[in-house]
Order: sequence, then structure tokens, then C-alpha cells
Amino acid sequence: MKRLGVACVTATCIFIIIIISMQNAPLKYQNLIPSSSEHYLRNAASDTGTTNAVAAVLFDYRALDTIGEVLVIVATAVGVSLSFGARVLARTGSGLSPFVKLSVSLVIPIVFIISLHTIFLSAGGGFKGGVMLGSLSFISLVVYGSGHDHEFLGVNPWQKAMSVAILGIITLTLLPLLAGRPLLTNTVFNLGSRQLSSSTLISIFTGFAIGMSVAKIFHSLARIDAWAEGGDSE
Amino acid sequence: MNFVVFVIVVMLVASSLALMLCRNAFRAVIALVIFEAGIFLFAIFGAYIPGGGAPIVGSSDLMANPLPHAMILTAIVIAACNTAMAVAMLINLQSHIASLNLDDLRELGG
Repeated sequence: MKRLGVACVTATCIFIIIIISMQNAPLKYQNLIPSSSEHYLRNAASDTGTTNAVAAVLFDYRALDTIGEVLVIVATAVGVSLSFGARVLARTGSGLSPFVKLSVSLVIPIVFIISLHTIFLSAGGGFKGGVMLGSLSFISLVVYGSGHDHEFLGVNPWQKAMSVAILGIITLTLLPLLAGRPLLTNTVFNLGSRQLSSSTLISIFTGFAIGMSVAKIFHSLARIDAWAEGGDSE
Repeated sequence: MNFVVFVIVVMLVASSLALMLCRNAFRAVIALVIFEAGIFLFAIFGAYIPGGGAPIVGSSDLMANPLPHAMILTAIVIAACNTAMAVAMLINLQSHIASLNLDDLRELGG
């Protein structure tokens, strides 16, 4: 009862603050947006070469923020796997029934293609597509069992892939310096008839770093080492 | 429109506060997630402009503010990391002291 009262009082306070602040602001500024956003909207196409303003903010104007975000996710993966490092959990069995395995094996390529599509085409798609890639590893872990994953992928493939993705991001960060532009600006490469922009490449590497981190988090919950040593721990 | 969104935001935040004051650590984590959802809704609503379209250059005259979208995308990712880390801590807590009650944490003497 006491905590309900605390919550009610807090809610009332927040509501009053919002109402007071809204009464001053919206009537005057309802159709205006802040000048920084207006600058982004007006100059995104000429500055960065992308028409999507959210992608321009994420991968050009505030790209350092995005890279920090990737590092936070990698740090989380390392932290979670470290906090389970001392324990040995039971392996997740030999998987589900053959019918489930068959139908999931048909679904997995489709999800993979959709995740690549998301990484390439959506603003900030590296994050969404990366989580989809990571969930693929979770699905295969549950459906096929951790033994299959171990035979298929080796003991710990995630750390190497994560390192490669982060190296790629660092390379693309430094690449605009060669073209005489500031760090992390969007550089467009001409490959014959096609164009490839560096923000798309950063998005791809981001997607892989995030997918590998999510996969690492899932796999640290189901230890593969217990299977590798052939011992059934409970 | 404004009023409905603010009522929803305040309900999410207040209910999460009520949940957070429970002595169960798992409920506190769920409350954290609900609280974050309320904050995201509030910040995303700041990008809304009446009659504005998607922030794609050249699509329409009046466009929504792109900055809150980018910022909340960042915040969602950080929130997911927080939740993963908190749940990992809860699993360790359950295996060490076999309880998720925050009062039992005093046994650890930290």
C-alpha cells in the first residue's frame, strides 16, 4: 500500500511537470523543429549522400555515437559470458523432433535473407538485422542442440567474427582520411556502374558485430565445452 | 492526441515505479524495462509534428524530427544491453543464494 502511494505521488508530479511544460511550449513551437534537426534535414542529401535523414544522423553526423553503441553491446557480450564463465551448465540435449528440425531448416535461410535485407536497406538497420542474425543462432541452438552447433561451428567462433567486424569498423572509420575528409564521413566508392557508400559498409559490419555478440550471449548460457569434453554435467 | 500519449507515458512510468519498489529483483528488472518503454514513447512523441511525413529528404514539405529517432534507436540498444546484463546477474544470484529477494542480499555482506 505504501509503495502504491509513492507511485501515485510520483505519477502526479511527473504529470504536472509535463502539463506545465507543454502549456508553454507547443502553442508557439508546434510546427517548428530545433535548428540542428533542420540543418540535418536540409543538408543531409548534399553532406552525406543519403536521403534518409535518420541514417544520415546515425552513420554520418553522429557516427561516433553509433560506434560507441556497438562497443557497449560487445562489452555486454563479454560481461555476460564472463559472469557465466566459472559455471558449467548442462548441454541442451540433442535437439527437438525431426519434423521441427526439417521445418526450421526451411525457415532459417529465409530469416537470414530478411536480416541481410534489413541490414542493407533500413536506417540503423545494422542493429535490427544483427539481432535477427543472433536470434538465428539461438533458434539453431534450441532446435538442433548445442552438440550440432559445436560440430558445425567449432568451439568459439563468435569472438573471432566479432574481432573481424570491429576491425572492419575501425578501418572504415579511418578510410575518409585518405580522401581528405573528416573521420567517419560517408565516402562513396565507384565500382564500375555501381556505387558503394561507406555507411552501408559500416552498417554491415555493425550488423555482424551485433549478431555475433547476441549469439555469444545466448551461447554463454548453454556451455558448449561440456559437450566437447563428452561429459554430461547436470 | 497529446493528452492521451502523456497519460500512457505517466501510467507506464508510475506502474513501473510501483513494481520497482517490490523486494523481488526479477520484478525490478521488468519494471526497468517498462520504465524505459515509457521514456522511449515520450521522447519519440517529441519528434512528432502534426501533418509531418517521414524524415526522408524530398518526400514531403513538412517532415518529422529525425534526431529523436536516431537517439532512441541508440537508447533501445543500450536498454537491451542493460536488460541482458541484469538478467545474467539475476541468474547468478539465484544460483548463489537461491533467492531473488533483495532482503536476502544482506547475507552476501557486500
